[in-house]
Amino acid sequence: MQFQSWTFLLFFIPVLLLYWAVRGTRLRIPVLLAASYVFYASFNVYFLICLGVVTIVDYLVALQLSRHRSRWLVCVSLLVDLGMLCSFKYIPRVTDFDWVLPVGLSFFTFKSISYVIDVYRGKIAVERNLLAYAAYVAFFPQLVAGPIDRATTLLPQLHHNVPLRIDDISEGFSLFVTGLFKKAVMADMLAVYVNVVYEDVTSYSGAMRLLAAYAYAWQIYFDFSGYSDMACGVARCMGFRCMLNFNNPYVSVDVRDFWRRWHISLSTWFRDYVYIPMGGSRCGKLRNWFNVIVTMLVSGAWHGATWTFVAWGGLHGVGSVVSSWFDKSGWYGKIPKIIKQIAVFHFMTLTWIFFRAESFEDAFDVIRGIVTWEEGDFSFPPVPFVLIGLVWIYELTWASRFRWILETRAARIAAAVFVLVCVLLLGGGANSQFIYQQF
Amino acid sequence: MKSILKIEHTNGLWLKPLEWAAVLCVTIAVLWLALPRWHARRLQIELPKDFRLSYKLRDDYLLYRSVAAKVVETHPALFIGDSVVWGMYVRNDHTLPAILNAKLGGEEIGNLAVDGLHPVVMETLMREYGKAVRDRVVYVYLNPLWMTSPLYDLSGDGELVINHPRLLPQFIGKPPCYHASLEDRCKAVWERFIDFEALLHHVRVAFLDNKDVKNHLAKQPDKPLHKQLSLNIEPLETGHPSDSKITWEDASIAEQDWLWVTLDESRQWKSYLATLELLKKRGNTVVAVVGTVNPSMQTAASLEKYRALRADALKRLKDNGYKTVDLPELPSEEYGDASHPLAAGYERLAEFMMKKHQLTNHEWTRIDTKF
Repeated sequence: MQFQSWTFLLFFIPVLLLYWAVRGTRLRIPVLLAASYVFYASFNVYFLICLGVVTIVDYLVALQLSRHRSRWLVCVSLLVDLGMLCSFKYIPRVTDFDWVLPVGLSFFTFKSISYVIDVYRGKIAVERNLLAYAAYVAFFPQLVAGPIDRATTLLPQLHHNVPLRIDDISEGFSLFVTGLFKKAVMADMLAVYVNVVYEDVTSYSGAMRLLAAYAYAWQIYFDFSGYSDMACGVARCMGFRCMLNFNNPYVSVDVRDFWRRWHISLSTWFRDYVYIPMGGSRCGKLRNWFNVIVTMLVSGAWHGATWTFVAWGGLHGVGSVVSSWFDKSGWYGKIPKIIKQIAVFHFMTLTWIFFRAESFEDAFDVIRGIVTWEEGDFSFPPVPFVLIGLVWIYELTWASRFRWILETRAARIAAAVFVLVCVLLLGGGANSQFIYQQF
Repeated sequence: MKSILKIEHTNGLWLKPLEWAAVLCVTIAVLWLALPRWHARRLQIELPKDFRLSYKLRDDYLLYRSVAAKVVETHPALFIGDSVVWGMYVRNDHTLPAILNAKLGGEEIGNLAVDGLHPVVMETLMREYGKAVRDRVVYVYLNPLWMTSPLYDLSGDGELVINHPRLLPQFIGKPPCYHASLEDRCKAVWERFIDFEALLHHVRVAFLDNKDVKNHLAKQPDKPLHKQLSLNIEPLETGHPSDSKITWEDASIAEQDWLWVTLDESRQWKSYLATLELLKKRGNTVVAVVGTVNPSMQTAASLEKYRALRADALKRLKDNGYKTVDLPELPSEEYGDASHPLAAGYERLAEFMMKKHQLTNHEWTRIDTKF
């Protein structure tokens, strides 16, 4: 059941009405939990087993932690959660045994791990209501691909009966339509072009490989941020505030800035539960660089059990280290912002080649073709790239002092009409999976 | 509004409730209501002699609606049915309506048959897209082949590739052997209500080689979209330049021992009757044309059940007050398969209809007295 599908609409409208009807009662959390389980079962009813195991184990571990603060208990939770995650992710890669990775396993596992560690660290009180905790882990807008909202922000919202306003609906709708445009129009259209090139890299010219690399950089952004927008929009319609997951990442001025803007919920998760426990930046320069690179390598490996993902993570690690070194030098600050933004975007585009390619061979074929400007087939679809150009102009304007232009009523209405027309004209067709669902 | 604009979020597409309401109303009014109407009014359809709808466009129901309206304008009588009427193995001028027209000396009978149009989907096609078919003489073909087994009859369960799935009942009355996803079924229903969706499908099949707009834009930049689209369309079948001479025996089709369903349990039969009733309610003079299934291709047991079913169908149609045409069985060599005649078979059927039912030119107003 994808957000952009009719099935989801048929599911969500009754759920929303029911949720609004019981919002002031004790049925609010059970209704939300039931809806979340129905939503997850629509992918595969057996996936509920994993969700149930993670929920029960971490709930019980946290209860025990409130009585007896023990590292061993945290280890039990990590062993179960990460054991299940790694089994599903990596066993099929190293053995003949094949099973289906439950959709969103990483996301709800990470949510649950963060809760247990936060309880252990004393950052959050233990949740004694099993239904509330289960609803937090299974919260359906975030279940499949995040954002990985922490218990510190989501659990209080579950308990606090926030009055629902009509503005919640319009704000949720705004987010949802934006996400729908990003996913169903932009990401899916770019995917067609990207897939054609990556299926047979060597047949295409260097120019087309370059365009495909650019296209993929935007495809993955539109796909994932589109999902996040839709997830936040659905949550907002029910009165929940999700954390911001993407904040114009392609206007970043260095790699570290990029990670403050890209998949923020995951990058902050890795920061809080991997980087900082390793020592973070409160150690020597070399050790800090080591911590950064290891964190990014783990992040890469989390995406998938292939060396291309590890290489992607490694590149980002090295990029982050170089960025911090640049930051401390005087000359980098003097470079015009737009030049830095363009340079960072191109670095990201390079790393995405490893992320998208099926193998190192494919990745190097793409890069070699671009560098040597190889001859071959070439086609340039103007419409998707014009749309990318418009979105980029919009984002740059949004991040600039001219943002007020986009905040005028005329501009907002014009943008909304344009987006809706694009969704209605181009948004149909197969309801493709979100890229991050596979992680 | 200030509070909304303060939200630090990628891309500031933030509208107030009333602004959204206005945007939605305007966009929906323009795209869902005005655009399909404008398209229907501006669409120029060329209907040459011996017209039949192109095989490629067989599931372009929006176009079917426009074609039906145009055919109704120019023909006093119409023929509706599946590929037997459409003419599976013959040229455009050798279909049953085309041969009848040649014998009548003019374009009297419009061919509104569609390949694969079994009665269950014919009912939906006529109800949703055949509203222009009014006050005419309408020959509605019944191909008994659709009742050879519970599965083909759509009353039984099993795996079957069903023709025209978008026209099937999607929820209430859904055939048990129809296993489309909920998503596809929702889309099919939506398309019946919102012409804009049917228009997008029309664009896809008529101009973009069955690719959606998004795929076309990304895959075929050398063919700009605005140059592909047109308001002039000639939806004539062009894929059958000559008649097939291959008989069912040449094609080595094995003898069949069909189960056959009874009319009481037949889903197809119920839909056929419902189609006749619908057309009758719209002021048409409805003529039920009961076709044949190749008798030489069946075992003795199958043939016995088939003939009993056919006789029962004719009796019930007459009992219900419908005019009927009881088409004769053809010689074995005039069948291309189980039910499709070859050119000689169509010639024989047309001859039969002309003689037995005295079809004569320009006398459709007298048709009530002829059957």
